[in-house]
Amino acid sequence: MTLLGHFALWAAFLIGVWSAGLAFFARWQDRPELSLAIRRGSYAVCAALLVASAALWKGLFSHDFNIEYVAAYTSRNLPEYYLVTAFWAGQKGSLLFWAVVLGIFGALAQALTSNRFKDLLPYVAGVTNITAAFFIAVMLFGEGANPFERLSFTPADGRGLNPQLQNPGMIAHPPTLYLGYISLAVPFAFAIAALMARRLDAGWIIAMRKWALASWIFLSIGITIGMWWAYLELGWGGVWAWDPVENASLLPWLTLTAFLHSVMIQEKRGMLKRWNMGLIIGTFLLTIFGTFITRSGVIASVHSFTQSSVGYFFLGFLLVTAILSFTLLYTRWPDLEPEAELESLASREAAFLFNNLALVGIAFSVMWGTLFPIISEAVRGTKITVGPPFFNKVNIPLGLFLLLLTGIGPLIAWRKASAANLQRQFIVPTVTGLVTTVALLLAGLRDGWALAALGISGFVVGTIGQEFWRGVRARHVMHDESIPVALVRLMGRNRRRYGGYIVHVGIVLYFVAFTGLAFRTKAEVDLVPGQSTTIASPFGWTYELTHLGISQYSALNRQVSAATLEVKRDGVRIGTIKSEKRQHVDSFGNRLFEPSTEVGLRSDLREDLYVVYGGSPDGTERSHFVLQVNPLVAWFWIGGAVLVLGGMLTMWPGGPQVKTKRRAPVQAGYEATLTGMPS
Amino acid sequence: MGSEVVEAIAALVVGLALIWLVLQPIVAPAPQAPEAFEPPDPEETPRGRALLALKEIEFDRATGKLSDDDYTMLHNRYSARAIAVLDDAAEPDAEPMRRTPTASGHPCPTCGGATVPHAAFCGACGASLSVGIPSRTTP
Repeated sequence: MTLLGHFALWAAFLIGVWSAGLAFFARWQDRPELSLAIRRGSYAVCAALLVASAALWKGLFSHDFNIEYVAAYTSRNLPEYYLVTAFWAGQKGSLLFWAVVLGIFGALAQALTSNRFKDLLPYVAGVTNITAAFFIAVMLFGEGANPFERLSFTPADGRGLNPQLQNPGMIAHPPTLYLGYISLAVPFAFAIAALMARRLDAGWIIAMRKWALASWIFLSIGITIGMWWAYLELGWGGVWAWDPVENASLLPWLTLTAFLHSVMIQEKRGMLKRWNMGLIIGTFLLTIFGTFITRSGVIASVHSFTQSSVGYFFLGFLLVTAILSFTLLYTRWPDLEPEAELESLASREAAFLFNNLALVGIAFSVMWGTLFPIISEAVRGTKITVGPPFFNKVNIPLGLFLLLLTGIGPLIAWRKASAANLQRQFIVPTVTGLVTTVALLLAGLRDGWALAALGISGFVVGTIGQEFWRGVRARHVMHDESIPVALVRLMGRNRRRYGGYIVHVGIVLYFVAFTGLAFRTKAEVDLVPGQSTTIASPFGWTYELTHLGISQYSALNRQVSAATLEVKRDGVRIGTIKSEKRQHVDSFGNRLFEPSTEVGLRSDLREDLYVVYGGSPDGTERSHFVLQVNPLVAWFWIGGAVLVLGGMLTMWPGGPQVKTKRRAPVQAGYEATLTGMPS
Repeated sequence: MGSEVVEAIAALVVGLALIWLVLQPIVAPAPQAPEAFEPPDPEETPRGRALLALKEIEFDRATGKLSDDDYTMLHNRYSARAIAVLDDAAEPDAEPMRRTPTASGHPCPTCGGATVPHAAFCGACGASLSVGIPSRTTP
């Protein structure tokens, strides 16, 4: 299917360039009648890329090893569902995946946006299509980047999929993160469209804010599943290592989070218009920057694709997009005058400003740390990598400040707050925070950072609880509603506000989980079958693990050595735990890749018992184990789920804000039926 | 060899379909159907924004965030703003779009435009006029 795939790529590329060119021509020549043709370009690019993707999947599923990509990332004995994910496992396929998802989002942006914003849509099509065309150009003209490239011979079997990518987390992690990354092109396209069309009122924000929220939700899911994958597959027992590519995914998340807050100031007060434009352009540029980091190999990372010249396409695109976007912003500078001024430092607006400063501050420090190897090499000639200590030192205080703002912001009224009211608002949250801190001190916690993190978490929970309670009570009094009805209506009619608070609960759970990880215990032991070892839990009890033996067997595409341990907690047997060493093989039994490890895990809400079987010397069952007790890890995944639920509530359609009846779209004008006319 | 011919035919069909999709609006434009009207979000109109602000001020007072003094000051300011928007809309020369109806009916609760007395729908935005201006705010 390479002929069809290749053809579809060219078609998508040419249509993308054509419709983007037409969008700018129509603007230049003032030809609004071309807008339908431009918008059709988005549908055509999407359709062509879907054909190309179907062609690649056909190659993957039919084991056409003459296609270089199929031979490089699959083998005959690879489970079928990994044939689906092999699409984005390698450089070439993931470029096509990126392009097709962008094509789909570009078409959806055209189809789902209200007619009220139709003068923005040709420019939106222009921006999404030229971006898609760029990705296709990388495939067509980049060195070794075309997924439909054929080999001069057909190997009997492929090289198989990297075992680290053979994990359920890998099915969901790249696509969700990509969805977040790629969907950011749509808010960016709306921003550019608003600048081009000089429609800089509230319209473009209303047209794009659900897209920005959707991107944020996808990024959050992608990052959380990525943490889960790292925890299970990389075998070091942590979730976040400040790896350059992890950082690259965090950067747009930070700036987008800042945008989602500061855009509210623009909506309510007409302030920060320039800043918001800058943030959304910057966020999109950061996604391209992240792609550059991943694909150029300039910075070593667990995620990097093979080093190739493809990365420099992205650097070029990054620079050109940055120059063009910021020049456009500069030319529209006078149109973005603020409509109001900050009335008081004791206002929600001011809290949001600090929130933006903290988020952008964290983004800068993460960027600095990520780029430090490149900067140090340029300045001093040696590549110096800054490790987690740098990132933790800078970001823990900034993160806690941000967490504190999460608790403070909602307590302050928009526009203005008086001292007496502030005092009343702060009593409950402050008491909750202090009670949490004192309770933890009494329970024996002495770590200052942990006390601060958990104390502030208590404060934030106090704030959120109070916000819900006072909102419900206000409705109860104002509308004479019962408490449950008031709660449902409160959330239903203020989805953004209360969805946002639920997101904040998710954020608190993340902080709690990160704090827990600071208390993990670790041990390395060699055991022969029958031998036992112990490891203490930070919660005070002791685990006793007894090596039961090694079993070896062959599975579908691997030879497995599994070590089983019996687990007792304070002398009571609670079950067994199994960790595996896997050697992947092709369908002829030839070894593929280095052996990989499957972590053994017993997880509950308090802690995870985490066992890594390091291997046994040939012919013996003497085994090396790395054991860890990781407190509160489950709360990362629960926090992630809460965060996503809150985000979904925020963008759920409906929820009248002003009591005017909203009607379904109707045809304007009158419809007349003529009767009695001669036919 | 046979499969390559099939692929080439498929590519040709796909190519022609795409070209038609993109060029049809230029070479053979279909008659434009009248566009469906969609009412604006409250945030898109100055009146809607002023009403939202008033609603929020009301709610902030009910939840104890605003003192009575601040509430009165802000309430007066945003009420004045809402009324000013209504006055602008009622002014015959202010917005040519809304000049057609005689400006003696109630202002439209959605767009703030003037309406014909006893009209069921707003002549400017098409919203139903059976719903009055909210006298109480709903959080």
